[in-house]
Amino acid sequence: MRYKLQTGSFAWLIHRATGIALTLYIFVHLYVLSHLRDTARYKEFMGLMKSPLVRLGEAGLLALVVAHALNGIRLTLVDLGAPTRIQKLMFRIAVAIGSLAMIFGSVQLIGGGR
Amino acid sequence: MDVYTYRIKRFDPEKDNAPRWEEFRIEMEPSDRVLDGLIKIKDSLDGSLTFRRSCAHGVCGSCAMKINGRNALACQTLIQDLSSGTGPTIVLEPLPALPVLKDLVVDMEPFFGNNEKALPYLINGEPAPERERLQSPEDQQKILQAITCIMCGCCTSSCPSYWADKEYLGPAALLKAFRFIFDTRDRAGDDRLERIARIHGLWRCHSIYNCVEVCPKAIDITGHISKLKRLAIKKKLP
Repeated sequence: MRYKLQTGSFAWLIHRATGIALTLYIFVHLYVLSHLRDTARYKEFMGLMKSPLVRLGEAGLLALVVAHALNGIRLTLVDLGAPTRIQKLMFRIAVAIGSLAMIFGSVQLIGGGR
Repeated sequence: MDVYTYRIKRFDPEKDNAPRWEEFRIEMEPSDRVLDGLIKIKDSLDGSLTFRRSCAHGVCGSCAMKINGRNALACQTLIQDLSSGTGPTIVLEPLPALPVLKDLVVDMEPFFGNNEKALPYLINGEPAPERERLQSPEDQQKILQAITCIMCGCCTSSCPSYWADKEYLGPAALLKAFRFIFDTRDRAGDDRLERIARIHGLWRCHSIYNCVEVCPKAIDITGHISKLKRLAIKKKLP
């Protein structure tokens, strides 16, 4: 069904998509961690983590976490009694904070620092 | 007078297997309402075009439909107010998520059925005073917005949670519950709250705000629902 997207429904779609993606990620994450049982494999895996592709993926993961967390705060504030009329303002603030976090985070993750 | 195209999603259960689109071109003033165009088409171009309308002044809620992609009352939407995205074309569809009976007419039974579940009437076993059960202006303020609801169905049929879960009570029924739960003259608030504080009730609302965006009476429905959620949590309901 086609229906006009507005701030609230757009935020909800992002929240759903990032939520599902993060849920899938956590299974992969736990699976990999549970198979790193000796030093050699750990080091081998950490070497793999330095590849540019993985670093790009980490920036993507950060984007998922940032989007989901900030929108989660926006939703929680309304549930706690924040006036609903500021929901669009809160979305814009979340986008602003999220963008800053992504610029800073991407520089750290992709640009080096390790 | 300008020429506008009305692109209408039509369905006649006696002739059509599936909905079909039909276009009508009519002359209208930009200050005319979408409903005026529909009436003009029915009167002069195609008498079989079917839609609901009664008061035509934003009070009865009969002419709720999807106009250019979002729910609204046809009597309350001016041609000039429609976003220019579609140009001089006005796209009309029946309300989403409700069974289509014919053209723009949907079966409102599921909607009113959900409303029933919220016990939409005053319950108070105490003997009634001689004239009326009085309410202070302050107490009335608490439910003033909720009382304004005209039950047009724009909100519930715009809600993605309702699209996905037809058992979900929907914003309108939850607002109706609010209207009585916060009415100081009512005595069945706890019973109502228990009926709505369940998975197909309050907790299906994910604060998407589609209902608030479309309400022709500008009711802050999500705000009302979140107030109900807080009350349910205070009372430790599931």
